[in-house]
This record gives sequence, C-alpha cells and structure tokens, in this order.
Amino acid sequence: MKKFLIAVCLVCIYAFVNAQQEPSLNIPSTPAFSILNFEPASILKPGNLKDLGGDILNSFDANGKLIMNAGMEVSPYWLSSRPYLTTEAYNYPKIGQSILQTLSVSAATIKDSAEGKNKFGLGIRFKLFNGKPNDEYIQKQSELKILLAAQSLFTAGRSLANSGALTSIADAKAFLFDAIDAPDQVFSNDQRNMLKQMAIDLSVKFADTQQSIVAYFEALNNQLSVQQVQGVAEKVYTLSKKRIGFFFEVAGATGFSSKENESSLERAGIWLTTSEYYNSADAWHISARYQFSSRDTSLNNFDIGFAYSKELKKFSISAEGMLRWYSAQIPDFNNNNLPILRLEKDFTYRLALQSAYLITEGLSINISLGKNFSSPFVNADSFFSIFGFSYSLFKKVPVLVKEPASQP
Amino acid sequence: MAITYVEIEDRYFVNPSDKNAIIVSVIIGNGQTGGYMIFLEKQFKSANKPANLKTAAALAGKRCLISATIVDMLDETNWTSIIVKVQNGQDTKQYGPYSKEAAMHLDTVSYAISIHFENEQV
Repeated sequence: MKKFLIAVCLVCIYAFVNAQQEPSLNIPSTPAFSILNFEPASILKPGNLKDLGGDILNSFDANGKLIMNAGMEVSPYWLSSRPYLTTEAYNYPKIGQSILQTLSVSAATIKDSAEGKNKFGLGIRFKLFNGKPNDEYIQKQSELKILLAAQSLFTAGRSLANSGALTSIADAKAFLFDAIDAPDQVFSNDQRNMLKQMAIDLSVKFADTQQSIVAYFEALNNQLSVQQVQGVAEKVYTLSKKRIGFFFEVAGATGFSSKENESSLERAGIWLTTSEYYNSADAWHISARYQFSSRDTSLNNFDIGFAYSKELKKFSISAEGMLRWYSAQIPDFNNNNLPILRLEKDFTYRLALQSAYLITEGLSINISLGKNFSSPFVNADSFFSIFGFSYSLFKKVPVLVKEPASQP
Repeated sequence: MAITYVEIEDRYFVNPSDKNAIIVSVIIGNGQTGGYMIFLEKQFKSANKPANLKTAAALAGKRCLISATIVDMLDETNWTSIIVKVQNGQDTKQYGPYSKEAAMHLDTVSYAISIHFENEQV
C-alpha cells in the first residue's frame, strides 16, 4: 500500500512538472491574464453598470494608484437588461449580434517583485460565428416552454385569486380544468391528466379563503417546478453548452510594464480559431496565433494549428499539430567581446495526442504523447509523455428541496 | 429554483365604434426561455402564441390577463423581461419592457400582467 501511494505521488508530481507544456489550440478564456502569464488572486466580474462603477473605484487605493495583483472581466453587452433579445435571436445570432453578446474585455495588474515592475494586461475576446443549438436542445427547450406555460396557468390563477375573481377552491379547480382542457391548448393528454391530478391532490389541503386560494396556486407552481421543470431546465442548460456548426473566435491582448516614469509595451498577442462541430462529439479546429514579446530578449511567434477532437460520454481523444515560425533577438557578445543582438530564426512544430477516460464522477485518467516545439533558448529533448490522474475534491451534491408546508 | 412573482396592471382605451380585432402578443427578452398564456377574463385564449381577442368595442370593461413564466438559463445575465403588444388594426401599443433580475441561476420569475379595456373618454 505504501509503495502504491508513493507511486501515485510520483506520477502526480511528474504530471504536475510536465504540465508546463505549450498551451493547446484553445483561445485563452481571459486573454489579459494569459498575456501576463498570471492568474489574479481576485477576479471582479461586474454584472451591471452599478457594479462596474463600484469595481472600477475599488481598483484604486487611497492614493489613487491601481491596486496590483487584481483582475477584471466584463461583458459590456450584458451590463444592462436586453428586453428585445428573444431566445431565437440569442440562439441564432447574426454576425453583429454574435460579436455583441460574446464580447468580453479583461484587464489584469501584477507586481513583478523580481524586476520591480508593475505589469498591466488588457484583452478582448469575441465570436464572429457561434454555431447553432443541437436538435436535442431544440426538442428539450420546446418541452420546457410547455412546462413553463403550465406554470403560467398557475400564475394566472394566483393573480385571479388575488383580485377576487376566484372565490373558492372549487372555482379555482374549475378555472384550471377549463384551461387545461381547452381545444387550442399546448399540453399532451398525459400532461393534461398529470396537471389535473396535481390540482385535485393539492386542493384538499386548502380552504376557501382568498389567502388560501393564492397559496394553493403557489403550491401547484412549486410542485411542478420541483417535480418537472427543474430537471428539464437543467438538461436544457447542459445542452445549451453543446452547440454545433461553425465557430469563429477572435481574441487579442497586450501587456505593458511600468517602472518609475517609464512604461513600455512588453507583450502582444492575437488568436484566431475556427471550429466545425459536426455533432456535439466530433469537431475539427484550425487555429492561428501571433505572439510578440519584448523584454531582455525579443521574440516573435507565428503559429498555425490543426486539431481533431472526439468527446464521448466517458472517453475523449484529441490529436493536434501546430506549425511555428519564430524569430528571436538575443543579447550576446561578438568575437571582440562587444555587445550585439544575435538573430535566431527557425521553424518548429508540435504534435500531440491526448486522451482522457472518466473512471467515475470527478476522477479521470489522462495521457498525453507527442513532440513539443523546439526553443531557441533551451536545448532539450522535445518529446513528451504525460500520464496522470485528475481528481476533483469538490463534488456537486444535489440539494434536497423540501416541499412547502401545506396551508390551512 | 425559487419563484418570484411580479404583478402589473395597466389600461387600454377602446373606441366604442371600433370593429377591429385586438391581437395580443408577447416578447420574452434577454435571450431567456419562457412560456406564457393569455386569458380574457377567466377564459383561456392561447398559450405560447399571440391571441386574437374580440373586436375592440366588445372588450370594454373586460380584463386581458397575460401570465408568463421565465427561467434564467443564461450564464451571461440573470435578467428576465417581458413586453406585451396590443395590436388594433395598424396601431400597436406596447406595454413594458417589464424586467426583473432572478436572484440565482435557474431561478424562475412569473409575471402576471392585467390589461383593463376601458372606453375612450370623450
């Protein structure tokens, strides 16, 4: 057992050390953090204009100086309510709408203690094309709309009871039955029977007072929510993340450094990724990125990559290749011991095969094989193989929802 | 999935000699998913589609009740909203947008909007 634990620890340490691999084809989720190679301790994500104003003010200290080691991510379009944006327009956006609803702006500050510099990163990210929902989503969303219409029936009953238009539980049931059985209704026969049975079962717990009739409709609404709507809504939400079709995403970021009275552009990058998801499991990706870094050594990278990924319920595999052209200006000394800038230009490539198998919820086994980019700064074997486990300590625990207490 | 209720009342003035049909439609905004029903008094008229009510003149003194339930499905926002449009021939009167922010992701907001039809005052 002791040997097994030591072996697991060694594998984990090896996987951790080798995790410092070149990032994959994915666009960084927050380009400002990525350009600084820094994940801030606190990330502010204001959801409305009031929060944004407060967060900007809180980003400065008492002396009016920017607070270091902080990050902010803002989606400008979503800072206010968008009452004219229908679910259809959101799900099938045109190019302009797609840019608006996916645009996010990120900013980060970091204090580099080693160099005594303050660094500032600014990035944007948006999608020109954002695919479309899959067929299962469309079907489940229709199902959800019908259940929400049923909840609307209970809400209408509640409003009528509040205004005194329904004066007894018998009145309330008659109103419900008339609406449920209406010829132009959206419910299936099974749904009609289920709703009527629910109305009968709960009616015995309530009295003929206005307050109790209102409570009756609220109880019906809660019961339908817990028993049916919640499950379907969670399924629709999960499916909304599995869009298919053509995607085109753009990101850009710049990183500055400042010391005393001097400031300079230190890094910049632009990322472009197109993907074609044939279904929610199979996808092709093509990616291009340009990165510029100007510190003691200046470095320009231009990468083009191709990848295929397949994601099944428990098993995923991806194969990717990336071509890189780079040029580096490295400070050096010539034969006369005079300082010069040595120019290194070359072409290199990276190939990787990655696979993961989900053993159980929260625990997966991962393997990566391939050849990494060659570097003008490091002379090392560029082949890599990583074998490791991923384990999530914090698991989702279902919340038990207690049924509302019956009303007199 | 907590449920928040929002109740709104408003008026629509009709001309006693107006023979146009009144059509009530609903827009659920903020990219959210919702379902709705439209009633004239206690009578069901339609679910998840516009309702063709009686002629304008016949509606005086009656109430149109629009009830909508919206679940917050988006990561980007917790806002829910509803707009009601009442079309009378070429004229359209808009009610709202009425907006309410869901307290938590996947929470539900239920709107009940009553529009009371009243005769135009001469």
